Amino acid sequence: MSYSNYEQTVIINGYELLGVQSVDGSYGISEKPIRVAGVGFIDALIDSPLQGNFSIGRKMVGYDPLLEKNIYGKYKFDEEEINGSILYENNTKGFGFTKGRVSRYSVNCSVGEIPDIQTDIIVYGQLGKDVSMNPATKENKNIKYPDQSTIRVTISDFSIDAVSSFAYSRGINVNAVYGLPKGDSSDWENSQASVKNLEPIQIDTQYPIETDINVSIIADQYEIREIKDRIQSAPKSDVKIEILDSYAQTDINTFEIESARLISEAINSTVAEEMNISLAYKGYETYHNPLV
Amino acid sequence: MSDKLLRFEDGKVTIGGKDLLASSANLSISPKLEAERVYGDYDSSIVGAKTEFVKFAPVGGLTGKLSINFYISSDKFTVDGNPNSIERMFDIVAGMDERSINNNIVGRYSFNNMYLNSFGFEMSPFKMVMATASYDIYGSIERVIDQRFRQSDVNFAHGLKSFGNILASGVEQNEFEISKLKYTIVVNRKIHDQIRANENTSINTSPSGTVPVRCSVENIEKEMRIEGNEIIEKINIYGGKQTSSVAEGIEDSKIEAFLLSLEGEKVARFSAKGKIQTQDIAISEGQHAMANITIKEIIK
Repeated sequence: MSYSNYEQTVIINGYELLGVQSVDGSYGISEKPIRVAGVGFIDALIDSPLQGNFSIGRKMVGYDPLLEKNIYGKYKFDEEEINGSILYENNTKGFGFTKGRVSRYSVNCSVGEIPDIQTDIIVYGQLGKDVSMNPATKENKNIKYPDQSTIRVTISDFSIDAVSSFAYSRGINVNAVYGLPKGDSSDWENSQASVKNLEPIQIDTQYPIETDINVSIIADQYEIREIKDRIQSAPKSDVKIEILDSYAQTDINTFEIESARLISEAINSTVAEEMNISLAYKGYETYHNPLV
Repeated sequence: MSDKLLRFEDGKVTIGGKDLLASSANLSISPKLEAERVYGDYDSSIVGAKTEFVKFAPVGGLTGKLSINFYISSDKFTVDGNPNSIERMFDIVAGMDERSINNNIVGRYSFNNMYLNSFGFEMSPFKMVMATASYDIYGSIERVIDQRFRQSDVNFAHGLKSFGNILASGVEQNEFEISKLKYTIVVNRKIHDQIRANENTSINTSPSGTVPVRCSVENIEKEMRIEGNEIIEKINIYGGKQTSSVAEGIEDSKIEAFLLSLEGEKVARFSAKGKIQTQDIAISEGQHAMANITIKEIIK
């Protein structure tokens, strides 16, 4: 029996995700071959912790529940683990995971398109059937669609020309620390450790989190700046992407980088298209130390 | 006819007649030579004698070293289903046998008169447990034919199932997480040579020449070191954890390692019980604060 695309649901942290276009789930075991002098190869044994990967591609058709913020105004996924699953056959079968951490969150959009969201998750916990198989427990906000007139890019140090596309990407380096199993003499009698430590004892985000925004604009007023001026002054800008509902003009999702630096500019001219300029901004987010 | 260069698969490592699951071995043997210089004949140009090199003269017997890295497996180190014969094999006990280990082979070379210097292993999460041993060798080596052996279905000691523990002055340290555990035991020996035997020209009738008549065990010390998240607080000058106003009667600290195979079969257990010798903690960019604690036990 096969399962068609409309029979599947993707659940993350209790939310049924909207606009899902694709989900890829996998896990891998790293093995080390054992070679012995006078014998040669004997066996290959596990050499690193099991890690899984989940990659979810979506169309932005509403508020993204993954963008929930904590009381400090930071994205929860920066520091918190997430659980999720793909459910099918009336939510009775599925493939789930625990202890997932977002490693990359990106949004891409060009004129005439609904923004695409790509979320990459590294799984440090359990992965497979019968894991995190609960159906959605939280309600999504209403479905909303942006159109090209309701996507705004604002850069604090100049008035931007017509934007033809943008790409927002937030890469999070995660460091998982594993410990040896723990036990004592009584555990030795039972031939197994009392604390198996199969999962990381701590998963930390390595700061700063790097956020990149690339904006392509159709050249009008904007002129490429002189590179030596940029290097000497190293100005910082606040970059904001607002994505609004095309009907009610209310906010769907907003992405910001504060104190971002323009790290590259490129001009492109071809016989087939209008001249466009690409601007790349990079910003850094810290754990608790505010940047100015 | 064997290949000119020995293949890894044909070069077994045998210690005391027992085949080891060695991943690498390094054998070295060399004479102790000194350049012998004497005053030569009369040289009228300097109205004296110049020094002349005569020969290289041996000033001791042949000495060598063998260091091996090997895998610890239950089937190699259990006897009649009883684990922990690693200590028996390496004979690392207070009443250590002073007799030499003979019938040793590394690849195409065999040799006798070998004495254990050190043994140790290291375990980390999700990694194979790797052991090391080093030996002193006296006498010469002989070439033998290539030898191989067959070994399948081995239960290797593995960090996935093996576990460790630390007691600071007898108290469990539940907040401690161990990311690496290292065990080392070192045997220091004293070499005894008989002058009369070494004077006899009969020592030149075999390439081994003079070999020690006895390698007595002077001391045996074992040490266990853990890398983890914490160091022990309230350490006192005696190397114990002092939680009261009385420094006397504080128990020794202890680190234990229990080696199991991936299948959960017991392989061996080790411990070092004594005083905390060193502990340190370091924090650096891009890493967590990592601590090291070393406990030493004197066996002899």
